[in-house]
Amino acid sequence: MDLKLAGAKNVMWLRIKIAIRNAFRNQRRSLLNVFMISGAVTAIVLFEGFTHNMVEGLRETTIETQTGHLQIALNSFWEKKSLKPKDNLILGYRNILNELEKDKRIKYAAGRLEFFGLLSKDDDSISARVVTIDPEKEVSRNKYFRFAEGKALNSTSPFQIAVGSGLAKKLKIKSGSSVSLLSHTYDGIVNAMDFEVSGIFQTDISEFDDSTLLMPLKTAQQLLDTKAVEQIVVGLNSSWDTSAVRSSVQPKLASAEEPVQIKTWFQLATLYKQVAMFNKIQNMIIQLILMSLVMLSIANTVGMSILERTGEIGTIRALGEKRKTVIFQFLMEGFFLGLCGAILGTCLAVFLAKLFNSMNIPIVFPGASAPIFIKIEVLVESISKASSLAVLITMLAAIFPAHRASKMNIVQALRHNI
Amino acid sequence: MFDESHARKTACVVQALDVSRVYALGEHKHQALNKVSLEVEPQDFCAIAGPSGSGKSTLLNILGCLERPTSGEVLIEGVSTKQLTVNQLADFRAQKLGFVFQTFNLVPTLSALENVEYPLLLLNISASERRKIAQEALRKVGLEKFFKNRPSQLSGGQRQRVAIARAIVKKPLLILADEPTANLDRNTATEILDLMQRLNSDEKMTFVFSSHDPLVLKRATHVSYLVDGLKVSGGEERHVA
Repeated sequence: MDLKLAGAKNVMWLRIKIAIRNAFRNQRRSLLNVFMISGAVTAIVLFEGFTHNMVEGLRETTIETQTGHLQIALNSFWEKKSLKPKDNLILGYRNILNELEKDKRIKYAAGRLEFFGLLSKDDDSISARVVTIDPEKEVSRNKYFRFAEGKALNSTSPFQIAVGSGLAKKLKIKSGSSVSLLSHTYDGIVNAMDFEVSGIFQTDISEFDDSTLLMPLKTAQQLLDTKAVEQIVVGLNSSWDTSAVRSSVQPKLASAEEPVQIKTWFQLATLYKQVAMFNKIQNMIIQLILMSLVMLSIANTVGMSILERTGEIGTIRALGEKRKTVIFQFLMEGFFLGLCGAILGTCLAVFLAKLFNSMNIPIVFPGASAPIFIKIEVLVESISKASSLAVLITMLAAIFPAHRASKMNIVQALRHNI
Repeated sequence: MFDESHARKTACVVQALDVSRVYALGEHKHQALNKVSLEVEPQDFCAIAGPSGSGKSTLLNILGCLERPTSGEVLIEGVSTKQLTVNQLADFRAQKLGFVFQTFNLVPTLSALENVEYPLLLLNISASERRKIAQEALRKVGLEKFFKNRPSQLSGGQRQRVAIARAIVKKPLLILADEPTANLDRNTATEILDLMQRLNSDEKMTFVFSSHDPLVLKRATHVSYLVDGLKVSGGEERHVA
């Protein structure tokens, strides 16, 4: 015979056609498998989208309400070497601020003081953590403090404070209430001031809302009788610039009057790190369970399919098909099942995410002060991970039965009628 | 010096030399074939006859490189299959042998045309060429109107015709047919035998088939009789075509 030999592509097409037909020859069983795979893909994409959004939210809240993107403080402050808070103050902080403000990636840079005081209203008093804010420079932070009552601090009213919702509840403070705060100056002298409560705020972190009040920096400096700050807090336009800005700021700080050190939000946000790690492990366990179920189900299906197709395997082997091609054929069938499951799973995930997002379902996280609405972000990264995992697992599940099929005795296999 | 045995070896399409096959059934051993020798020459229409369990299918399987003999040797075109690996045997089957089975053994998910194309796929023949040759083979067996039908949409006789088209499509050296008419009614069996005989005479194709049906055996040019794995002494006859 004078025959034209085909390229690999030409031969492959018929093999693909055969694999697709075989993958769906038992429609009910194949559909069940596709649904199983798509269910796993949907669950992974939705769960990751949900936790990602939650962790992202926590990250931004932590950065904006507490740590900033970068914090600069004296070495002694970070190392906690001195018991005297006065030793940890940056006296020449304004020069550093001026230097920092030249960088366009920096949204704000402000001095900060943090201390404890005794907050009193009428006859009731409670210990409170005071965090300063520079109302002029840190305007953008205001959106992260949701004011249930009243309004945020502003530079024109220096003797106003904003109180966390939990703390306000304990002292029955309302917006407009008069309170007084007692504290020690850095020299150890007791000092007190009267304030008007500008508003009651909430963040997503109940620990913060239960203990903290916000005070203008200049007022706090007056109360503590100092012109210095403990830290310089830097907020960036984008969290992704953190490392880059740190690297460019670091050398400039070497020439500062005092020995200061810079830290990123990630080094400081212990709760965020714990939550992120917890979610990562949780996601991994869920993926492992789902994919194990998929693997068992597919292995079972391929095993049954091989049993049903014993005669057919014998026939194609008798015709001259090699063992490795039989394995390849079953792997391709697994691939197409996995692919269909992944496509359907992705479509389902996108649809369900939109549905859940539109339903505004409230949820209270552990440690959160107020409910937030469930928001699921469908991530391309999750889709590609879940899809490739599904396809890979399906193919992996097919390997063992396919290998067994390829080792079948041809004569015995042929005895099974088709 | 003229080597007569070598010349004979190469003249034969297939030669079985003292082939034995023993199956272990638990502690018992079953001798399916006992030192059987056979020679098939080009364009033979050769039958292996014998009652059920006589070893006909085992001999065909061994001739078709589907299983190895426990002892003895099979030569195809003078080449011993003894030392060939599993993959080499697969290549050998793909290139040189065609099979027709009692139960047709068509791939149910493929159409008649695709079933016939399958052996050409294993020879890496281009799609257009495959289609052309497969269509021609189906025409030869009278199934030009059934290219797209799946096996489930064909009658038993039509299925066996597709199986024959699949066996002849690559113009193999030898076509092995294991009881090709056993699952067919008398009329269809006659049609199938006519077809095989026509391919043998017109297309010069070599057939070896097993059967215990006198109607089939009558058509063979050469019949070897087996009883309990032994070739019966004097049990060989050559019909005059």
